[in-house]
Amino acid sequence: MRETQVGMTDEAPPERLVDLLDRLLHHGVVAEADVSIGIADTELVRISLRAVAATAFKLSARLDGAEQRMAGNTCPASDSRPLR
Amino acid sequence: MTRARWMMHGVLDADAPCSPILAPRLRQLRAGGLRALVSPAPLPAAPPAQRDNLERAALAHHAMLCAVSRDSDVLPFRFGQGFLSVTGAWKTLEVHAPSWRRRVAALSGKLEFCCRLEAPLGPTEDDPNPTATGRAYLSAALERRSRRASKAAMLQDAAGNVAALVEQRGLHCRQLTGESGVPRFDILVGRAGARDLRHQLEQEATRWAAHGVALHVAGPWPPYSFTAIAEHAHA
Repeated sequence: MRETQVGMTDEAPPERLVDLLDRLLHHGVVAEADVSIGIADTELVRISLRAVAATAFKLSARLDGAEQRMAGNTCPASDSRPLR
Repeated sequence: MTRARWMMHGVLDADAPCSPILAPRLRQLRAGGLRALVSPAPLPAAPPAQRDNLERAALAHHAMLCAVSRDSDVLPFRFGQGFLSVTGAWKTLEVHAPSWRRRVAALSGKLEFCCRLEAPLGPTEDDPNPTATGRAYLSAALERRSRRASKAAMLQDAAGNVAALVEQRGLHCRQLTGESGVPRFDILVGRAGARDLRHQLEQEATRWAAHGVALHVAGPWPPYSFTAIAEHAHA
């Protein structure tokens, strides 16, 4: 990672880019997002398991024509935990 | 995957003043008394461009939040979370609005400073010459060890001083140990006291520089490191 110096605000002195990125990537509110954008050597974009599970569930239900039968079961798409 | 992805940068009160933000394709979504700042997420690129792409996007995310935090209280979001559609982002805002509103209130009027301490070794304090004779080598190594121990003690003293200063002012603070074992303080301070705190930390920096301890002060910026604490306080 580059050792670039970054100016924060008009008044603030520069801060190392690595320190800033560390803050941006590890702090802040975690939303229930659909997509996680990777960094550096990891994959760039990873679709969350929630989205994949929801798609697979809908596809499977459509192909089998079993929507009615599965309506009473627990849907993986209803999992509201934030996924990374 | 070619669909557009959207990234939520932060949320603020729906009626909070906010200067015009220069960001391409920025959208402001409103729900539950909050306003969310949303813009297109960086798209995948080939490896050499990938890092630059993300770096630019991260800096743009930070610059936007800093600009908003000059006028208003903004709850910053972690960089790198995206939504497949604006509708998805809006629904998430609607669902989480009550919790996020509490966090905005808990962090109202607060900004964050970062204070990092280092005691870098001087150019003459490198490893002793391995080709030196045994006695000269041992002597140099012992001297170097002694200097390092002295600097480590100095670093701890400086960290203690910063901790005392923060405590004296009754500020919320997280003390961490950075990548290379150096102490780091994330300090939450009210807008009114930000300038005064910076002045005090800079005075400390000047004092410790004479002892070979570097004290880097950065900020203010939105309270990235305290969003979880705000939630716990209300829970």
